[in-house]
Amino acid sequence: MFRFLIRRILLAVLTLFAISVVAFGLFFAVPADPATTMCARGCDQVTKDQIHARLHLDDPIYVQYFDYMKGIFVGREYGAGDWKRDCPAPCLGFSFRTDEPVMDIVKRSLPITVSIAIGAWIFELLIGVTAGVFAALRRGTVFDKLAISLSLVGAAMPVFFFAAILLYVFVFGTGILPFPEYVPISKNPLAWAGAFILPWLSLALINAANHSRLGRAQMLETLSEDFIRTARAKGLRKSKVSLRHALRAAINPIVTMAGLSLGGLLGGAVITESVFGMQGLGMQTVTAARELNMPLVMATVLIATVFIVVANIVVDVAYAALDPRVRLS
Amino acid sequence: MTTVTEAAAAAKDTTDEAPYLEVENLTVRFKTEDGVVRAVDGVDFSVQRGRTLGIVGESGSGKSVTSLAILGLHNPKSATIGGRVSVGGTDVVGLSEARLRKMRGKDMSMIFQDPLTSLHPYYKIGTQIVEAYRIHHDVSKSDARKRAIEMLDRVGIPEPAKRVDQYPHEFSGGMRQRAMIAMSLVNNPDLIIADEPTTALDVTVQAQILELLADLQREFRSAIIMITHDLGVVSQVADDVLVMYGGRSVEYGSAAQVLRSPHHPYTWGLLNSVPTLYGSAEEDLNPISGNPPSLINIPSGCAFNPRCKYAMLGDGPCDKDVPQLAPVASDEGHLVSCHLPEGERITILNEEILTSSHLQSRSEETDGE
Repeated sequence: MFRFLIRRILLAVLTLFAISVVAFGLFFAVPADPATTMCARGCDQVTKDQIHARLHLDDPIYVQYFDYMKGIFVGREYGAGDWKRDCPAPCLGFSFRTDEPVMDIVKRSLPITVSIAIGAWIFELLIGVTAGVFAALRRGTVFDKLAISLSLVGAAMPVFFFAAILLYVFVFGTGILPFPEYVPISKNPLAWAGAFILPWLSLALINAANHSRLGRAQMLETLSEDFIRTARAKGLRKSKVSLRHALRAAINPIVTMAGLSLGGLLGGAVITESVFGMQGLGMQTVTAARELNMPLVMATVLIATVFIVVANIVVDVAYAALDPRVRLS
Repeated sequence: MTTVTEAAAAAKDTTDEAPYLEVENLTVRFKTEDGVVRAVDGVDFSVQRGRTLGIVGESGSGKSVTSLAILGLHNPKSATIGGRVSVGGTDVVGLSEARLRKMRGKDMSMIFQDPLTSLHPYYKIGTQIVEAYRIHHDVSKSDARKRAIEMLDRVGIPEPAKRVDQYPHEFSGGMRQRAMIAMSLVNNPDLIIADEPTTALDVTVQAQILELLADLQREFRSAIIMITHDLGVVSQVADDVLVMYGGRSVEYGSAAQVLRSPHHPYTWGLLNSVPTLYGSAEEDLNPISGNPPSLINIPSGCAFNPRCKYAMLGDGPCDKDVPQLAPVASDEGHLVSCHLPEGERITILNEEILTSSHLQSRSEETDGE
């Protein structure tokens, strides 16, 4: 188990390294000169040169990459003399647009993304897995058929459309809820939940479709297994057969999907954020990419990668913990 | 039908003890989109404690469906079960799920074919046995665990205290089936239904498992139903044999009667299709031509008539009337359902069937025992 973890983490570091190299390479792949992006109209060559010097843009690419990585772990200094700016670890550089430290932008937008992701994740699992499991246990009934049809609708529904409907019904139509506005959970947990309930529901109801379809299929498969018949032949009551035996055996793929889903959600739910006007990580990425604001793109890519890689490790460990047949070596 | 059951009951030599399991006119039907499947159609048999009934037949002959019906494991929504199944005096047909559940595992238990798929892959062997024991006994987990270790030891698993904490995938096939048997027997059931318990095992292990079952039967005096398509297994363990075809019983009697002087052309076919180690394989292996009948469209008359070498078609009754299970006049307690006149059956048996070399060697083997 320990050796497995070490190996898995080393692999994760390698993945992160590869992704960071590729993302950093984008700096140079884009045609536009960052200096042009940064300086205002009527920019002259002198200003451009100053910007180049300040951002060390004339250094060889590997030196720049090394400096960047060094900034993340130990911090670094930009420029020299009057232009000298200190950027403590973890330093992700400065926004080309606003000159604000990227770390500050991340600190501002990450809580929003995490709030959306965690809440949506809990809701989608509660709704999706429960619906799927019960649909399988009540196969062929009205409940089952309803669950299947709703899953199909959910899987086919685009988030922006569904989110818009929710907004229309609950905010503009009936006014039950105010327009979502971010409040930190530390300030007012209730207002926080109120602000996020619509993003949660719009993501959860749509993602739940995947969980319910997977959950139903997995349960149906295990319910037809021989060991379920054995459990019944022992004289076990039906509820225990369903939960202790069938669900236990069906849980692995569900856990896998749940883990990857969380990783994806943490990487930023761009469309949801933009429908509800929330400046989460996803929105920042899109804006940054459009404006060729490379330090911000780089940062968001790295953060999303970390989330997904970590989610993968957690899923692998969970898999081994759940299935004794999986050997972690 | 009553006369048949009485005749069958009379055939049981040994004691006057009432049979622990009595099955009368059992029918199991499944409604499917293609029509009604008559999986079991009027089957009678009985088993006393301490005795073993072998149920033989091809896949789809209704053997396993019969056993699942006894435990009430069919889905009541799709299966219709008729007739009477008395287990220790309780008629289990139509019994409520709650009462059936209390009987399952305690009064009647089952050993399944493939122990790898029949044991839960994510629970330790011990946990699964403990669970089975605690369903019917109000004891602490540690007491149940002691019992589990004791059972594992009893079925011949070495180092039971260590193996109890292992998972099914850590067991070999034979050990796994032993563990399955330990789990089935943990509540001392009076009726054990073994559904092809040795099919998934290699031959040497198979013999050990059968011996173990026979041992445990002597110890606990349980009634055993051994479902199999392997006539070797039947001849080794069964006191009585029931041959099923197309959901009906075609021949029923003591093991000696059915295996040494069979009267039904299907049983002849089964015996003939057992290859021996002697002689040429091609001459020796005579499979029954054709396929088992569809249980939705059972052939008219005798279900076996399309595959029967001796069928009296045209003017004969074989494709018109369903033959009834009737006593063989010259052999008391032996029942067969065949339209062929008894004299003719005896002639065919003596002149064609028993002369085939391997049947003789088989009867010699049996003589030796």
